[in-house]
Amino acid sequence: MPKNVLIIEDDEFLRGLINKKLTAEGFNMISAIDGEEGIKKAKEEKPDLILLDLVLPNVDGFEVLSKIKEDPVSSSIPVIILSNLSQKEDIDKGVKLGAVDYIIKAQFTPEEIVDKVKAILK
Amino acid sequence: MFRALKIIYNIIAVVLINVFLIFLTVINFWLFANGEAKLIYIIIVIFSIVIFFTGSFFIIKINGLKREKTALVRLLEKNEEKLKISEIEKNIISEVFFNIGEGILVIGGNGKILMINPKAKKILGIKEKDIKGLPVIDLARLPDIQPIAPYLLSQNIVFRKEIKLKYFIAELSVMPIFFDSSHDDYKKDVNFQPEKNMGKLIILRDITRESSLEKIKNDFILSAVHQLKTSVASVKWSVKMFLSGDFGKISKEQKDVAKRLYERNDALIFLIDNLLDAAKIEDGAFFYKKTLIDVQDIVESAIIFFQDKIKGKEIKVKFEKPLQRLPKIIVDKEKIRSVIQNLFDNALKYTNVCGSINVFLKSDQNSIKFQIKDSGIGIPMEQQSKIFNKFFRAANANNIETNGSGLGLFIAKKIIEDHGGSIWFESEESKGSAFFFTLPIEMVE
Repeated sequence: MPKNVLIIEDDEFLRGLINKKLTAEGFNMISAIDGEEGIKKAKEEKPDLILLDLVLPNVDGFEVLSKIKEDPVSSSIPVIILSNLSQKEDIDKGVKLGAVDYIIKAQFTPEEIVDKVKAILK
Repeated sequence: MFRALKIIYNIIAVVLINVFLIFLTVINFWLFANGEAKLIYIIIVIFSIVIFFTGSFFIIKINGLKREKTALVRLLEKNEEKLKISEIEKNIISEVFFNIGEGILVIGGNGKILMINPKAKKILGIKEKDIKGLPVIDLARLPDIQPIAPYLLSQNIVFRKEIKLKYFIAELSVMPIFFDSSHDDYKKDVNFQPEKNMGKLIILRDITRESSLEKIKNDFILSAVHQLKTSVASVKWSVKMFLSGDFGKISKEQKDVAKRLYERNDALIFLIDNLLDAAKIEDGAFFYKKTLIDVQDIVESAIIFFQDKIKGKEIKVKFEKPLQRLPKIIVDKEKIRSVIQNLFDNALKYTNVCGSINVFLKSDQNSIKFQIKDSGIGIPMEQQSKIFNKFFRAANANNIETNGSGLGLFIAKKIIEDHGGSIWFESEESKGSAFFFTLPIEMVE
């Protein structure tokens, strides 16, 4: 059974790259293009892992994260934050809200992201 | 002058009258002298002499009194003038006090409010018309001014502390104020009680507008940086995937170009981070989040980070680890990482192909010392003093590598010094450079 990974990312290009990379690694990818859709899909599809961008239209990533963690249906799903907000406060806030890891986009390669996903789902 | 002449004139007049009288007496005496008349004449002479002296005496006395009177009048006039000036000064100061842009509150030695200007009332949200004489402790109880209350009550000096109130953001300064300007003389007096003569001057500057502008500016920068980073991240990812063959096999030439593109993009990411840091330093908004870390981990991860570049230039990198694990220190991990990466990036940039880089890490009782020594182009002697300046790049550095912002060492120096350490270098042109920094080991339980 392939593992399901939900990616909540508004940038189509980045989302496409990650989708391609993780699909090639045997993951089943689910996409959401904004916060609202992300929360909805997290609850409906119950993915094995969520990759979450922080700067999103309408509902931002921090709010998405707290909504996911509030609901018992989705609270146990591990969430990796995928963002370019590299300020310490943002990282701390994300971790405090229950994220398992924090990836700063410009500092990681797709391979490293795959490694992190695999390590968490092992 | 006139007065003196008048006195002399009076004296001369009296003398002349007397001389004339004496003259008459003497003439009479000699012409008509007989027993009885002689006595009368003698009496007249004596009488004249007495009049002469007493007259002179009184004239002098009266003139003296007159003089004193005019001096007194003048003194009074002068005082009145001074009073007028001080009244004007008082009015000016009071106008300034009422209309100045800063809120001013003066508290007396007895802890009661002596003066408060309308701006201070506005900032503090005080609606009562007259609060003069109110104990400051009562003022501190008002709910709206709670954030400021501790500063109103303590004796500490405060300098430009930003405080958020209900409707205003204020910059608060508190300083002692001596009501007797000659307090230095008072200090010599054994009975001098400084606390009675000392109150507090509280200045509140309304910076609501400034901080909102600051926020708009910072939000704008953050949003622009975020967009820039999203773009460079997508380039990083896609090029990396090209290189990894995710989009099919690529030729050697394609691979070489993609590699160069990847490196250029990483340099851009580095530059964006540096520019953002420099902007924050300028703004005084460069903050640290310190945690307990092992510097060795950071050095090792930096070497891994630059692995591609190291291999690309075939540079021999040697890391001389400390004999035993160094004590962990409390620093901002990301900032120290940025210092080490900047130093490493410079060493790589300015060392020729097949050169060498040696990294040392050691510690003594008080500090951890990092050293990175390269066999690169070095820094020309005459430019060494400017090397930590913002935007400065040595001429020979510009010649071999046009990319570079001149920000790396400026930021590194700021970070190391803010951590209580020091940073320096030794360099000889064409031979190489060695950069050092120390970080204090703080005792941790």
